[in-house]
Amino acid sequence: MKQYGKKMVGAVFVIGLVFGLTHGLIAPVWAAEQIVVCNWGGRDSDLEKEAFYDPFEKDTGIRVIITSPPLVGKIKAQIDSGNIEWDLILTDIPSIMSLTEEGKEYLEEIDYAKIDAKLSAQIIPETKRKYSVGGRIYSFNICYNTKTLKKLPKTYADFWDAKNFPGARSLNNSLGGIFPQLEAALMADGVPMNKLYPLDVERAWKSMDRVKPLVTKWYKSHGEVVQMLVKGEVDMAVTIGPMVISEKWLGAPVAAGFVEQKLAADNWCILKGTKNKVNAYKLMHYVLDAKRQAKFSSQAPYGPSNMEASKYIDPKLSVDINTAPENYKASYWQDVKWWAEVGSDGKSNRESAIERMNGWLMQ
Amino acid sequence: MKSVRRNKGEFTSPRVSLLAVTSYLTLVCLILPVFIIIPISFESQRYLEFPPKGFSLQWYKHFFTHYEWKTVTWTSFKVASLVMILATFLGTLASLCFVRAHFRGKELLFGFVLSPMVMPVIILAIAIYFFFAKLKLIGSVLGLVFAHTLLAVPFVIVIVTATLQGFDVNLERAAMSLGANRLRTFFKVTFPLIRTGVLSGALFAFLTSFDEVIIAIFISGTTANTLPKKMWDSITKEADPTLTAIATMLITLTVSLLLFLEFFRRRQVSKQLSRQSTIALEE
Amino acid sequence: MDAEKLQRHNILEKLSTNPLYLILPLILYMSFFYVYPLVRMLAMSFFSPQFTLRHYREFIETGVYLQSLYITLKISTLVTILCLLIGYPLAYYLSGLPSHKANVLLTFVLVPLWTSILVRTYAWIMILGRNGILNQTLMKLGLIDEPIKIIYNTLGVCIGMTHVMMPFMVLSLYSVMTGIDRDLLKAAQNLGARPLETFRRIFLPLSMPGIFAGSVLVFIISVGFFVTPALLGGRKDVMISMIIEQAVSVFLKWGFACASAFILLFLILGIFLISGKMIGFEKLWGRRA
Repeated sequence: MKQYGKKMVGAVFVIGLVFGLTHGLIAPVWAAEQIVVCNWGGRDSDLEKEAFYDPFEKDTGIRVIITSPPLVGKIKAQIDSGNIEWDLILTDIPSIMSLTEEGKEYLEEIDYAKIDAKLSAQIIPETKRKYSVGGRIYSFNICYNTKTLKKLPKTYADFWDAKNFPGARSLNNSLGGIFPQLEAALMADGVPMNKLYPLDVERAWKSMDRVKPLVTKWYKSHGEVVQMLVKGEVDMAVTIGPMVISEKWLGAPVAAGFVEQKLAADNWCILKGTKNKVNAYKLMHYVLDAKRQAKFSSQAPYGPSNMEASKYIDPKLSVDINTAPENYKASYWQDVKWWAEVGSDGKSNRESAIERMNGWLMQ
Repeated sequence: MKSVRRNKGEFTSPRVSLLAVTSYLTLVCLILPVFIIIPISFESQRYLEFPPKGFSLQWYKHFFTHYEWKTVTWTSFKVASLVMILATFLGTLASLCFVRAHFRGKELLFGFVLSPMVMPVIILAIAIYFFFAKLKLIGSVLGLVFAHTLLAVPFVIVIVTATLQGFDVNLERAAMSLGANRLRTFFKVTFPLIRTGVLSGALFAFLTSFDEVIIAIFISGTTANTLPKKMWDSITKEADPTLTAIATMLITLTVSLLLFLEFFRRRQVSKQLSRQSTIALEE
Repeated sequence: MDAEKLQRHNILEKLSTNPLYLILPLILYMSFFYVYPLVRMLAMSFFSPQFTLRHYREFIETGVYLQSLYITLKISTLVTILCLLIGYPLAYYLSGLPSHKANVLLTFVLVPLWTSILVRTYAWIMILGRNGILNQTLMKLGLIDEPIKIIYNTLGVCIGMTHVMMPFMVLSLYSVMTGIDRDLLKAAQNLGARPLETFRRIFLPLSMPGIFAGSVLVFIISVGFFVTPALLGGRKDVMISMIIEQAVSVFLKWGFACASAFILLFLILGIFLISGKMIGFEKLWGRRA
């Protein structure tokens, strides 16, 4: 009989453990309020946390849960299945277009009445759209390792020129969904920056053929190539400049140029049907705030979407921000409309380019 | 060519020492990449220099102070524990069946049951991803447990079946003829003898789940994010050497578990030996 | 015991007597969580939503995907051969050792197997890189002037994958080799055969089942690899699993992803069944009745 007693205790323990472990997790252990933010992860996310989410948590008591990346597929799956996990997302215009212009609305319309009028007036007007508010400006720049490179490339023509600017290069591949750098290819081929769009696709790919043998590694995600630049695995790359300069500020021997840089906006959106709308708008006031954006940009030099923010940034750091006046002069905005245009084959320019790159890379 | 006869019928010649050398070299090459991370995790600088220049525990500190890393580790631990229990249970029963029962199509069934082990995980991952999306199991601990158990069970079966090979069924028959029923026989006779095998299987199930990447990439979510998933995000996105610290800790965990298993096995063997010698003395 | 209790007892006895019932929980589990999702995926590859073959057609007609399949098979074959060439001597040596010594050394083989694949692949990134451990060491020793390129190409992928797959090969070979009766070898030598001949005519053929099992196992698992080629490979090293992942995450082409997955699955099933017939599954659960 004694042995059965022991066995009973054992069984109860195991069952209790199982029950506890599963139920303790399906329903969140914390009873406090929370909001889920989906951003691009990496070091930028840590810096966002410092600048925006931690103060928000401290002031409101609402816990901010961070996840990444804001994949369109996952968002659609969540809303279609009714199992919405994310509340606020930070994503790019192409994703937003994919989530709002393909028949079904996956994002809430931004109710600007819910945003403080004074704050709203400080945001760059063009970034205040129907389904999104601009959060920051990112850019594609020519980035390089200053320790391994003797001659630093300035323009894309330089990047394409192996004879005068020797070094291992890196460009993005098609596997991660990043646009092929057709604009860069055209500029390397002599097309002036203000005459890029609509892109001469055939000319672009011919130009890409010239740079193909110079590339050591085709990266899938930006973090990957930034890592490689820092470690000296490659000498130059076309990637997100602010991420590279962020490393420079930490002491890594890297830098980025602003000539011919491509600008685009990361935006805040609210997932359709989320039950956390009130908290989402509360958090928006934090991520759009001038001083907080200044704090963020002082560590990760993205262009702030709040026009007042530059007042609070140390001028020594300002020069490295992509929207600083000097740098802004030499840049162009990515034409997301062109990339989203659907051709006669039913595919958008983006889709066609990525698919074409799949095959092009394997040749 | 002179041949020196050694034990176990090794046919030797000067060539054997070459064999030994290459074998040891291979073993070193197998182990070295894994262990070389350890000194690097104590690197004081942000980028890789070998040999490492300074000593620092900052990367370990970074891991323990960031709640995201702690959360995912705890999630992985929870999932792996549940997988260990479920997979060992299902797998051990299945192994017992395979060793005992004889029926037509046993080969096929065995192959079927082992198939998740050899199936490309990506196929499983997306099949489960689409199915679980319907069931709303994405991003939940249960979902991860169910998926990982599928991968873990074949390993349990292979290990336990191998252990059962040396098992003498007559011991069970003897116990039953003395009046014990099936359940009692299992716990008192069968299980103690295959304990090591089952434990090995359980630990392997645990590690299979704890280290699993691909399925986690697809079906983890905000409330249930695993350590490998976050490591994958980190390798592909960050220049952060924290990964080396995490890797070192994982290696330590693995080696400890293996040592524990070995220690347990030796204790079993010595217990049996002492039992046998006691019996011998009494005779 | 009254009649009812006796009856219940008999049913329980019956249930626990027939070992087939032991496997019932697993079968049920696998039917729901394994077979059904796969069947569903098969359906998804044919319907979108009407019945259509276009996903399969797209895979077969677009050169890129067939090329990726070819690259996948090429790399898997290379890895299998490398594992065999390196693993066979090791397994041979281990099988000749007394078992307590062999067990210790086998742990060296098991440790990588039990280590997370991310950790192992990350280690190779650090070792093989242009500024990695290998290059830095070789340059410091003055053996080379310029870093050698052994990463972000097929070589890097093969090195990484061979390292990962080696334990499978070694364990498969070892388990067969320990079963080979060494007395046969002694006998042959006593009859005058030279060591090389003994090996070639007796040991090697007897180890064939191990070679088959190990090769098939390594090959099939390699075909489905994802992590290692993604991190260590160059632009041409696009294995089919990477294409499938891209189809799901980037293109949201779920029907196509399912079709690709099934093409891969049938390929593997074919290899598995054909070789399974050749080696026979009884090897795995012993010959004891």
